[in-house]
Amino acid sequence: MKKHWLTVLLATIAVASVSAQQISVKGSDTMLILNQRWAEEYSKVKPSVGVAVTGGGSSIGINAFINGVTDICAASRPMRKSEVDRARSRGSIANEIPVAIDGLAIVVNASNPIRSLTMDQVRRIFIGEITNWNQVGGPNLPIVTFSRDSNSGTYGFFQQNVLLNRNWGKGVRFLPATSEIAREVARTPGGVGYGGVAYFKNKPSLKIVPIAPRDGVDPIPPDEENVRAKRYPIWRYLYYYTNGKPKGAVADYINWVLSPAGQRIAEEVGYYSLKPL
Amino acid sequence: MRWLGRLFEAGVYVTGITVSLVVLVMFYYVAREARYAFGDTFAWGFRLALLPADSSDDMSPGSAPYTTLVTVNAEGSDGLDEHEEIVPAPSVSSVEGEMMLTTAATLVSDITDIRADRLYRDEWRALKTTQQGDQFLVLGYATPRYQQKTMVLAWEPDSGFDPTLSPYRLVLRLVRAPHGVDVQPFDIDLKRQPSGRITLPAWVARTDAERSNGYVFEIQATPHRSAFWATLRGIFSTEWAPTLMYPRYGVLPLLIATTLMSVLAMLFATPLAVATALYLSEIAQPRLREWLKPALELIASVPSVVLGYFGLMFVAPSLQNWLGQALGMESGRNLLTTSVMLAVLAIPIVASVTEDVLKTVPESLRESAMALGLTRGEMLWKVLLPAARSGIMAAVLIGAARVYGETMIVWILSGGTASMPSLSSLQDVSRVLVGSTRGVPDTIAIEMGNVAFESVHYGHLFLLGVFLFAATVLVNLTALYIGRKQVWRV
Repeated sequence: MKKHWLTVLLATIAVASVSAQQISVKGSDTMLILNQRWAEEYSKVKPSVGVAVTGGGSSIGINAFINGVTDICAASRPMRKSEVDRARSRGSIANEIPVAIDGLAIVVNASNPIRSLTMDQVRRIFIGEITNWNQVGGPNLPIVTFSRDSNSGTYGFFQQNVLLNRNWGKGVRFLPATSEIAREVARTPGGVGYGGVAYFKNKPSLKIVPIAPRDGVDPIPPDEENVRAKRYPIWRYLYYYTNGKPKGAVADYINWVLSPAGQRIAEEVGYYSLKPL
Repeated sequence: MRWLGRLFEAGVYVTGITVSLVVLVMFYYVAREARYAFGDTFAWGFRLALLPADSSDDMSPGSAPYTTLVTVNAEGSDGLDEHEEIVPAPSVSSVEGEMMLTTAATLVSDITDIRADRLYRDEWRALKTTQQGDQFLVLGYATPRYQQKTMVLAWEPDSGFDPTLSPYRLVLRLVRAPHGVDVQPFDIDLKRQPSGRITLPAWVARTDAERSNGYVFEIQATPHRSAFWATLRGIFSTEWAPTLMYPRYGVLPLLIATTLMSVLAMLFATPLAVATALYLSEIAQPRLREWLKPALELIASVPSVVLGYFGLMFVAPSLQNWLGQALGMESGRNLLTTSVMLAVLAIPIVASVTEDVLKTVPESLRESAMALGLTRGEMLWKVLLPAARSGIMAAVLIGAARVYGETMIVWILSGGTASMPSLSSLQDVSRVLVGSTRGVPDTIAIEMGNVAFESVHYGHLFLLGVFLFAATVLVNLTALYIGRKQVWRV
């Protein structure tokens, strides 16, 4: 009887794997949750197509793309020219499709009277050159910095684009999740952290700080409009890469991702849709 | 029924040998993966810039508007965007009217290959190995508006790069002076002189094509120290920063932090655990003990992630409220909180084993003590504890080995900053106590998820695993050795 069951199970799997079309999405860990949510929702829209999502990081996804082992490469940074060239030499033409916009907010405790910061001040706070709020026009209060740990793509993005590749300050605390950053900043009067805007919005104990791109320029809050217009300085596109123009099931999937239904999910996960919904 | 006994015996043999072998094979695999730590490419990078002769001494190549970064990276890292793009060298026509000095980079295998239309700035943030034999050539020229007689070549290590740690011989030299310019050739050891400036006669490119006739400087890296020793030296250094452009893999801060928090945790846990065990074994009513002992063992089985979050929600804020002011605690996530929660993890384990140890002390010793007229307190302190001494030590070490390898509690509560603790003054000690820290097991857990397969970083994480494995095995073996000693004689 047991054997019988096993046969049935194997047969079901075999049938399922033959009939269902598989799209593989590999790459960015930042986009992992977004990709998984898209895959889940898409399986409701089109049950006959399975979307297999794996993470590993943008670089790993891009390498997989170059080697031709994934249909879609998800990347939280654009491909470098050297990577595009390498892909071309192996017969893959990198077709770049932005699928969502990500803006990172700088957040402080609500009791902190600080009104705004410049990009340079943010950088110097996180590399440990500024250690007290009175150095940036705030009260005499030591700054306690919180970051994501290196598990996260956001960490790499922040280190490279805000810290300009400098090392983190000695006192930076690295936490396992952005929600933890929200919690710690909420209960530390001198705390400061960064992360997706969605994590910090509408929390009475937190304050999102507007950022001035350069010294002497008006600070800009990371709201939808400013991030989408690229006025807010800490933003990035999230990309899908396909080999040439997408065709067949892959094209259908990407069209759905870019449709209002797909973009709404991007907003739910905490990113911004490419166009106002 | 004799055959059944034989069969059982054979089964025990086979299982015992298999399990032992599996453990050894496991260790072998962990150790084998650590070989990737010993890569043969080490990142390095320098910035070169031409500065006006009248520039002040504190103007650095990094802050000059036209600087060239020559850098070789073992692995391209995630998320480099705008800074990553290849920038063509400024052409003479594009900067007309601007007074400018510039350097431009080109990567050629032969100096005669330099072409004016293939000059770049910031070209080499890519995968390259130093052994390839390519020359890293940098061209230097001024544009027509530059009037001064001389110009200054300035160089410095790229931020984050420490030339003294590099296993390469790093040299900056003048490969070719422009036609008709009389200048002494130079050859500078960049490890002795990581940054500096040299004055050169000015040379102006009148047209774009002429740009390739300018000064040609070379930065050359040749393998000098063996890669193995360089890696080893890196491992026993004091900075852990694997995600930098120029990664540092010093495991000492992590090992010291893990040791520190384990020792502290055992200092908290041991007296409490031994007292608990004494109470359970010697004082508690049998009915109460029947309930308490299983309850204690149940607590020992609480998943450590639950303990970690309990610590985060309850212990961290309370510690901050009580001691925050006194100790200058910035956040509840620190060494002290971590140690307290590790002690909570260790107490049931140590107490339970200690209680078992106390049970093995012969009843005759207790009876003799009573017969001699000792009070119960004296009996516990002067007879029982000395008699069970070695067993209790073993129990503590078993607890310590458990704490040493604990991951989740440390991940959640330690704060995650890998820094070398300094214990030179009392003030430093208190700062370390309430400071953010990071241990070995949580580092493996955090970073394994985002590391490129079989990369140097990946190898170092396995190497950390080897250290952890070795340390816990060592502690356990010591426990075993001490536990065997019998103190009393009947």
